[in-house]
Amino acid sequence: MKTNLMKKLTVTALAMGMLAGCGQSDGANTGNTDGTGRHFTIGVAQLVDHTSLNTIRDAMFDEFEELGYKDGDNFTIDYQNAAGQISNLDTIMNGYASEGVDAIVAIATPTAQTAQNYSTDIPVIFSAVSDPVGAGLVETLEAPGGNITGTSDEVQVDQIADLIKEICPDAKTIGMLYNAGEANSVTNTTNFKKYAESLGYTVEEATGTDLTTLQQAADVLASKVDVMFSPNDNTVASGMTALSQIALDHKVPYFVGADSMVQDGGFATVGIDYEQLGRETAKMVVDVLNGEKAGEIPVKVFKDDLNVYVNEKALKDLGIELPAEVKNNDKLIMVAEKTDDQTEGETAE
Amino acid sequence: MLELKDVSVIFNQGTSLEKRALDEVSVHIPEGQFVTVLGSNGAGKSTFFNVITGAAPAAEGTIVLDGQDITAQKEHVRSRSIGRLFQNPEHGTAPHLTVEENLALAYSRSRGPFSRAIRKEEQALFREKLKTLDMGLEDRLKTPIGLLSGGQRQAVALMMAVLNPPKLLLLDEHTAALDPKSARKILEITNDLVRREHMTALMITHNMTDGLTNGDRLLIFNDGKITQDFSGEGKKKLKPADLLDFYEV
Amino acid sequence: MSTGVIIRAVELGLIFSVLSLGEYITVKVMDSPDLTVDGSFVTGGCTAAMLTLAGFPNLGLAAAFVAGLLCGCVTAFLQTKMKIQGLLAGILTMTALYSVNLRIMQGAPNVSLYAVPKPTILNNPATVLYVLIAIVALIALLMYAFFKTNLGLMLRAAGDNEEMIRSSSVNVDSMKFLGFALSNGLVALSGALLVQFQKFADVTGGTGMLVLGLAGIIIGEAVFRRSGIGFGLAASITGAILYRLLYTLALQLGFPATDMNLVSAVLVAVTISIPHLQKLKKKRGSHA
Repeated sequence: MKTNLMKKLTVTALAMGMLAGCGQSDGANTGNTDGTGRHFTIGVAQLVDHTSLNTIRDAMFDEFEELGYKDGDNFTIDYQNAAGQISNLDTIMNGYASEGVDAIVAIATPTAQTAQNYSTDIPVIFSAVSDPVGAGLVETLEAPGGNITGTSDEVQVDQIADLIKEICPDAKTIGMLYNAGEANSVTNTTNFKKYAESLGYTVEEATGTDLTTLQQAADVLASKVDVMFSPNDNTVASGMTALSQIALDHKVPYFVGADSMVQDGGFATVGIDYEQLGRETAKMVVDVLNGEKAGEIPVKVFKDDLNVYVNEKALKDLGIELPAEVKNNDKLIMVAEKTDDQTEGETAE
Repeated sequence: MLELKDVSVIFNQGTSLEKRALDEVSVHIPEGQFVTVLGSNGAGKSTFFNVITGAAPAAEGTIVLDGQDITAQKEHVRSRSIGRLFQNPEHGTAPHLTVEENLALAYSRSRGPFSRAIRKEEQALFREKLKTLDMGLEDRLKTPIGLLSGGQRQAVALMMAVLNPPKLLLLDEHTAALDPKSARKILEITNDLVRREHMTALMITHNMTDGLTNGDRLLIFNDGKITQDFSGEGKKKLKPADLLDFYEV
Repeated sequence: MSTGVIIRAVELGLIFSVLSLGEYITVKVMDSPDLTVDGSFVTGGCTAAMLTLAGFPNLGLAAAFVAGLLCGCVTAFLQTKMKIQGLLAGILTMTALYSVNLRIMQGAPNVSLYAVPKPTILNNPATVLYVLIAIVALIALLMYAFFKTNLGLMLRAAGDNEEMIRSSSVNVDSMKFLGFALSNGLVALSGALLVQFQKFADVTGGTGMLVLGLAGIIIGEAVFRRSGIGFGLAASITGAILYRLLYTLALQLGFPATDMNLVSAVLVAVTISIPHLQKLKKKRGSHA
């Protein structure tokens, strides 16, 4: 009885699939809607749900619309989220290949690496990959080479280190806190350490694999160093509120790698605007759709004209006075802390 | 064949709950003797079996099997020479394995680990042995044992215990969980096998009639000690009513 | 779905069928689900990745298997000698493996295999399907032969009725070592194959492997409803491939990948309880 049921289900499912498959492939291949332009289909794959990644994605979709590519009209976006499981990525890419998408947008390193296997036929644009060269995706940042390019969220660690020197001139030791399991964090912290040591700082580090271990590591680290630093580490970011409190308790300024982390309690950063990142990615996708070769588009790294974000409340609590160069910087953005923290009775402006 | 000298088994030694499940028990069982063991609950019968197989450690005393001191030997080492049947038919067989796989498990143990578990010649042997039981089991070699009745499972378990003739066979109330008809059948088979193979066997039973009509010798346990030991004529003369007197409460 | 997509799904399914075959040993034969797999899957991947980068791709696969054997031994050790309860022992090993895996990759949580000195056996798109079929068939045959030996029978019996084996001349502890080692060896091999297939290794790649492997076994059993080792192995392989095909199909039909976790869990739960549900149906039927 059960076998028959299973058999029927399987046959029905396969039949529906074949019909659905047929339908979709028609749409992607021929697809001239009312003759005013080609209909493009792109696959957008994200590894896991996360604030920064979501910001990138949403900004990208907005930018597509503003550039004239409206989802549903002359444009189809097939968005897939792998729910944190790398084993799902290949199946998602396989699906895109079957649909005949015109381009794949891959958010996060493992996503891009999986897409790379399909890049001989389909151009890939990645986003939020800190080290595209290290990940084997491109040959060099200026000339990617294959059929892959994208935007990098490499943290400008030297600019942050410079900021530390400006705001905390008496600091001698810096403690780095991150999850060693995140490729981006390893890249960013390695670079930070190199540059900071060249400036004369002593750099220590502590790692954790989840919030609990990170908190313990933070506690130990904060008691030993003058200043703390975390790159745009996903795990740290998700626990920013608790971690920044620990730093505050030890009266240690906590520099971070992303503006969202400053909003959640981090002290300051020289930051990538993730909205910008998303928009730039969208622009790149459009260029590729219009015929440019992905391998010839240089990877976009955000180095110049960055904003300086400082958390108002942290500034007050630490009792720090911002030096003139920082205060007068027209790229300075004072960030009011999110209002769920009213415990000290002081309201952020 | 089996000799226990002043063997004691103590639970919770050193605490206020200390209990001597076996209290300096000494007994000698010659080869080929079939002994029935009776006693009230908690008298020490099962502990007696456990200390022989190694499931329970002997706090004092020595155990010698076929001239070899096995007091310190581990359970799985001793079980090469001691066969044991349990009250629960599910205990002695692996339910998802077939009849022949269970038999092979017992039979092929002596061979190397990577040799084929069931050989054609052995299948014929199993069929032959099962035929002697007269229960139709020879036709059900490929049936998972879990599907057989309690009596059938015990019969197979019995066969498993004697396939490679053990030095000592321990039967721990092995018919107690069966319906009367099956119990009778299994007891019949047991007697038959033990007699035919001249096995040294010990059988615990709660059924006084069974205890009297089977075996050459009868031991009664009380409070961790053997209080009565009947053999030969003495045993034949006993009636169930007499036994009740020996059961202290 | 085009043939290309189906073939790719089957290839992936074959890789994961090795995972299911490994889990078959612990879940079905030993009746002892083992969480070590979320860790050992990655260990196999990392080991293979590093050796492949160094120019020894095939040695990498073999080394991955051995690494898996060791992982299984650790869990067995925790269970038998340290008397740590089943699932917990697996969790402990899995947790420890996270650090070990990072070390194997020399601190890099992600390693790319896109450019390697010597190509892997999975490198050629024209032959990869046949290579995988050959590998899986070989593993299945070896496993089948193994379970027909004395040792294999003892392992099955130990998993079926531990009490019985404990009081027989089989060392139950040794059986645990054997079972967990073999199981994790296969799981690690599966991880290694995946890494060579998708051309990168990531230290977080093991999430959800236990359920994934289990789903394959469960689906396979729904198709092959007979007991016995041969059917069990065939079921694991078929189920893993079928699962991957159904998953690909679901994505095509528009199910978001995020819902697939729920779908998998429901699928596994329902299939496991089908025998129970059938009993209920019969009961109600007879009372009607």
